[in-house]
Amino acid sequence: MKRVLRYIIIVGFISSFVSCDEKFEEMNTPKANPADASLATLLTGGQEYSFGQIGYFWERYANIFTQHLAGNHADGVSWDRYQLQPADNSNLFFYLYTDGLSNLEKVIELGKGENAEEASPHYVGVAQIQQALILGHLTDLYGDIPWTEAMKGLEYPFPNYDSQEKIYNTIQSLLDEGISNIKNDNSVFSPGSDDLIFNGDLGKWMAAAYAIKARYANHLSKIDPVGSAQAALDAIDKAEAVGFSDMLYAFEGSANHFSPWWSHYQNSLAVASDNFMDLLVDNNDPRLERYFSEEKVDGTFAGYVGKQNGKGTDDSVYPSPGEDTFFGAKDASIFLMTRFELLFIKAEAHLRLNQKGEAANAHNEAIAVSLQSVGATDNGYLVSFATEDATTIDLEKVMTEKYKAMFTQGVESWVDVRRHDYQYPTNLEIPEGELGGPTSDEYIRRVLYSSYEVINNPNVPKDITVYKRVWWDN
Amino acid sequence: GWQQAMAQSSTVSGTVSSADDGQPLPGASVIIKGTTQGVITDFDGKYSLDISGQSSAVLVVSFVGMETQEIAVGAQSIIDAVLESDSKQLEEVVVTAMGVSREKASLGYAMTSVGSEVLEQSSTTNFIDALNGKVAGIQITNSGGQAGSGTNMLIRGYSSINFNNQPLIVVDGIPIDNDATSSNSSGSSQSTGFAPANRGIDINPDDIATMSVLKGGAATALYGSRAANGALVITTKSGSKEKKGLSTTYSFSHSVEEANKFPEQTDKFARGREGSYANFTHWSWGPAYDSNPVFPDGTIINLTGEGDIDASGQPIPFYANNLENAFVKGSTTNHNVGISGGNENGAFYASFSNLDQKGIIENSTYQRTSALINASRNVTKNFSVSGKANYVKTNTHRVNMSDFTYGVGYLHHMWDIRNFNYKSPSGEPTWFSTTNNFPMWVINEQGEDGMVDRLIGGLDLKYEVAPWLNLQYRVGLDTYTDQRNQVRPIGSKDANDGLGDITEIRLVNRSFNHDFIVNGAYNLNEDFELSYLVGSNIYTNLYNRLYVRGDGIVLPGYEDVTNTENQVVTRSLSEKMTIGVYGDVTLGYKHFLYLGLTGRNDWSSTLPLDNNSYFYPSANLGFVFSELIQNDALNFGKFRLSYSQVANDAPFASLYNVYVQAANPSVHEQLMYFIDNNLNNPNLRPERSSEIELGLELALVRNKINLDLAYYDKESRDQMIWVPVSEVTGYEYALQNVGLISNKGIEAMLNFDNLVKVGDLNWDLTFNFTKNVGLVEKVSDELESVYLSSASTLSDPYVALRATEGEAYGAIYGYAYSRTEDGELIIDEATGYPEIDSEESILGNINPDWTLGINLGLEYKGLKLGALIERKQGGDVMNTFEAMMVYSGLSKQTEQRYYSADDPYANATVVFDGVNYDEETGTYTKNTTMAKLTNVGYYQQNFRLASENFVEDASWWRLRSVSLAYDLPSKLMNRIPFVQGLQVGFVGRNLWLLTKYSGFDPESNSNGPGNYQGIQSRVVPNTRSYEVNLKVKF
Repeated sequence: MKRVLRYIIIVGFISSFVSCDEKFEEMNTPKANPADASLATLLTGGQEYSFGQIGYFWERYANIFTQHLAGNHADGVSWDRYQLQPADNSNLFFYLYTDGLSNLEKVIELGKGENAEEASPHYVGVAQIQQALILGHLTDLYGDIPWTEAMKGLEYPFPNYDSQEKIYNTIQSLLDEGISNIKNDNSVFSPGSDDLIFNGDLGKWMAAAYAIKARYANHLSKIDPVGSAQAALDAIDKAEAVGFSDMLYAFEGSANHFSPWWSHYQNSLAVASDNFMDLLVDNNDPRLERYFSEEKVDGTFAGYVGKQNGKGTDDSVYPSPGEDTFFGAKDASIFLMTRFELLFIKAEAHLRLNQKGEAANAHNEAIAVSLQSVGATDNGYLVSFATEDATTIDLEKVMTEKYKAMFTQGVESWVDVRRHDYQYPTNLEIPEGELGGPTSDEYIRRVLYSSYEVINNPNVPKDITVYKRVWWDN
Repeated sequence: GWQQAMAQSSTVSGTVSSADDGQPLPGASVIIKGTTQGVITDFDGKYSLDISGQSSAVLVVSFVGMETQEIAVGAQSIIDAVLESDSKQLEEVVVTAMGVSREKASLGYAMTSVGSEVLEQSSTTNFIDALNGKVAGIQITNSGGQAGSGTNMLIRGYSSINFNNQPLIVVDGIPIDNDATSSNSSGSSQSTGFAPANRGIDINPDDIATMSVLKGGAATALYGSRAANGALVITTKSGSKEKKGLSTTYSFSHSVEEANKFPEQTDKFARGREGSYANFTHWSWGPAYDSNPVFPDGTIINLTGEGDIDASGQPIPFYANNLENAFVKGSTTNHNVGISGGNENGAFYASFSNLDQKGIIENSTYQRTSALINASRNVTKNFSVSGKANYVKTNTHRVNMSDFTYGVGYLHHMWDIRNFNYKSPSGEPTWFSTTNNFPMWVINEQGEDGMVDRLIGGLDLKYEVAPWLNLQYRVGLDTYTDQRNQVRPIGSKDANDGLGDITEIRLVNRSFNHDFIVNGAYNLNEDFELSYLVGSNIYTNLYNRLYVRGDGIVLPGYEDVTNTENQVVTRSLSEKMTIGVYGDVTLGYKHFLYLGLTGRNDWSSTLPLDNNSYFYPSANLGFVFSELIQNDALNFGKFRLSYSQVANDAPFASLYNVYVQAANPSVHEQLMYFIDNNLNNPNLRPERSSEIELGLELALVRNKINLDLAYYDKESRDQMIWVPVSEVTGYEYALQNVGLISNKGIEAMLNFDNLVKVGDLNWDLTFNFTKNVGLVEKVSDELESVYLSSASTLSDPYVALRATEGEAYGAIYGYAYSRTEDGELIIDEATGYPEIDSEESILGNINPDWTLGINLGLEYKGLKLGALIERKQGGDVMNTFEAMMVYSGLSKQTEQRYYSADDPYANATVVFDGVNYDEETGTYTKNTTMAKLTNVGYYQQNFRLASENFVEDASWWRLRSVSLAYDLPSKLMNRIPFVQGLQVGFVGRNLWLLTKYSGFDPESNSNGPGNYQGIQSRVVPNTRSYEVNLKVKF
């Protein structure tokens, strides 16, 4: 019996009082998640939560503001009538700042390393170029956005927002730094198959950086018409010199990774606008069938008849980008920056500098490249629309053709429309409101900040309406 | 001084027991008269006392609530004393923390003990439901009528903002898991469409002998952190060493259940929009049925599921009561066999039970099979061993109630929910919708199979060195696996656009608990008695869960996750260990003054290594003032006072940040990692709470009137809160020690026991009253409010639950109508509709003002009748389901509508009582605009979006249960061989409900157990049930 007693005391007391620090530490270590991650896994994650996400948000629905599309039901109708809420697409901010941009930021931090010997500037450069593109996307939607104090955890629990002007400077400097980092020969690691955009091709990244510089330079056409044109043309020269290839983001087409337009087709919050549909149908545009299906997802025949913007929910059926179209396939890619866009920028910039011949050439080439890019076969369209010369070219033609080509790139196309004050194409008009007549006496100029930010960050800019113009729009 | 009671010579020993039930009395005092020599009886009521040198010793045997006896020793060496209950005092021995039996009269804190008769009377599947209305201070909410549904339990209000508020459950000294893990990828408590069960449901109610509800910190102090929200201490049945031979009890019950309450729908309108029939809509905003509407020309439609027809010109069909018809009658059948036996060397209890439940949703089933053995043996006179093993297996089939009730809330009257052939011979869905499933598709084609295997086992060794020194070692194991398999077959509109998916979940949860306890009791002298307990505890827990979702089913009909195109795997794995030492000293003075002191120190693996130790004390005082007052009317009176602190550690791995995977871990075959959006905190401190409790117990008029009152004031500070931070910081939440919650409340029990004698009738009336006022005192320095959940979806008005400074936990937020300072509605002059605020405001709170349970017991010869009436006053519920039906046009509230001025069935207009605001002059004028109650403009875009229209007072009265039992007279029994007793009974549950709440039973909620209560969006209605039962004793 004494042995039993002794045993009880030993098991009970002694084991209670042994030092447990090591055991404790081991127990409290996360088991299902790693403490370190590689540049490759972070880069892929950063790309997916940037470019894999944006297509699902305003990139898609800004096509309603540009009147490529018209609202069909629910939120689609509200947005068409400029009735925006902070909660609309509020996850865009969330995905970009907590995952997309922040993963890229981590790539930059880890890529810089402790010292030059351990650094991987190629990763740093690629991440910087992508951050520039995302910042451009965001600022063109919202105006002022957080950057200087962003993504620094509790160091800045309520980040202040940078002015759009400052963001535009940041975009150019990130691109310049990105280019110089890519040019650095000493990089411990370099992106490869983990880079879903260019598969690690650094030359393509460099050309893309110049192309993006051109785009954001050209956005300042109202602020500095001549300077912006020269800066854009300068960047385009460099992009062409390196050899620019289209910058796309591809979707797997698997159950977890559908293209945003395929997903849009299943629900069709928005359908083809009659303004855009008329432009395509009336001009026998070969891109019509590459953009829109005549059938709804359930097989109902819709025909190539667009819906009036602001019309609201009705019983008719309208076409949408279906599975047989270029963007509507399950595994379609979205366009981030394309050669035809670069050529249209070139045309517009030359026009601002009154270099009409160069403008006409770029314009003609841009249309041909646009047709090729979406797999449309020329049916005489080029003869009718891509044979401009110095005497015939004008801004309306350039911006109208660019408008047709930029379908699905809602945000960038909306920048064009706003920069030219909704003049091109000429058939845009303020959508109908609920009670008939125009929904408003002015066009929409921006979207509202995320409801999460409105709740959680006292420093979010106040007194924003959808009619307040962003800095470059003044 | 006292003398050590180790026997040398002239020793007298024996057992002190109660005359009432023959049970031994631990803690009774045995003193040699005229001296200060004496001892206290041990756990088994035994004592041994040295009387050498005392020639004519007289023993004074006393116990609180019992008549003191004096026994001359004479030549006897064994003296067993049987104490009669003192008519002046209540005698009750209760099980307190760590399984220690104590005289209830000596406790300085509140606790309620519940016997097995309570469980038998209410006869619920989930034993926690049986506590409804029986215990002041506890709030029980069942999540609805799905078979095997979960129950939420709350003692003394919400004391944690973000983490667990459920009390600890301890069975025979073994803490058991009561988690409710949902079927989403993380297993978090926030529910998917399958509201989870709480794992306490695994305990077979027939096995329970007694339950002690420990409410405050002073009562639970010894259990440490895990009992910070109170504790349920359960003792299961054991055989009796006194009663020799075998005793077998068989019980059987069968009940029928049906839905107890439905929201009202309108029958007036057919499918369509804005007054016209439409062929591709979910809306019921079509023509009035009174106008005998027909399908317009060119209507091609599949009306019965048998195929498309040209229905042009045919009358639009009408089927009434689709909502009611969606549900069926359920049933529950339970068999239980219990065998017990024993002799002086040991005892055992064994049981086997089988429960088979069919829910009120077809195919929703729950089966529980449980086997238990409890055995104890005296190895030597001083050394005893007891052990237990309980194996439980449950099988469930659950229906996605969210999808199902959503479908039902939209179903037009033109479909016959029971007879529509929703599936073609080739397995394709035949219903028109591209986004929703036909409700019967959800029931019959989709669902979740679940299987839980659980083992609870324990070993308990006791060695009595002396009455003042007992050693005890107890080890307990609670382990279970939970396997779930969810299928949404090809054709399911909600799964990958019709491609289907299969989800497989595997969960292992395992806890070990060790306690080593030293305790004893002795008399310092005739006036002072002392008992003590010191112990140490080691607790470890492992939780390992694998979630695999396969998207896109390849071979139709083969329902295995391997048969999918693409799999996504999520693992959750956590480990935790705490080590604790604790002590408890109780000093009694002359049986009327008791002082208890406790202290516990814990070390937890989840806190920072250099700061992982935390201590918390408690003190309680019991003053039995009736011992000092000679008054015939006052039989017993006690005043209680206690102060306690409890501390709580952190969740697993909350100190350092890690990289995480997304729901889809790779894209284009490249694996991705992300910075975790939840920012952890390396400097976490333990959460601390402190509580003051006052209590009064009275027994009056020969114990016929009994009162137990408690007041408490509890403050929980340094709360770990996932504080939402600006997402621009790169994080969504940051874990910080910031919050402060207080709860103050009153618990009252008033009992009348045969106050007026009426012949052979025995009656008993008990009121249990609970009022808790919880207040969020602080969220964080920066934030006044944090979300608990948000239930806003496309067709719902915005609603969110929040903890907000200055409000009770669980404030319901949403959009209210705009009002002037005088409270008048501001009406839009153009439309005539009330304007809705653009900023959210508080519309209600989920917490009730008070609850009351009225228990009535009547006994006449062999006939026993029990009834429980309950009242819940206050507490709001957000009726999101109603808002959805307003949108779909099926709500009764949409019956008055306007399609056009010349539509005789739909031309309703109203002038809202309110004012118009003139922006130019800044003045208000009486509204005179005639508002048209239109489909989109009014009901969907105005009425529905004003959340305040759907936050309803959920007060209710209900007849929770009525039970009737009849014991066959023994004369009759004697004529049946082998049978010693036979009881037949009836139990009715939830037979009557009175509430102004318009939806389903306001008790059912969408989220199951957990902190997210008070939102009723897509739930299974609650049930009313009728049970017959039989109990035979052999």
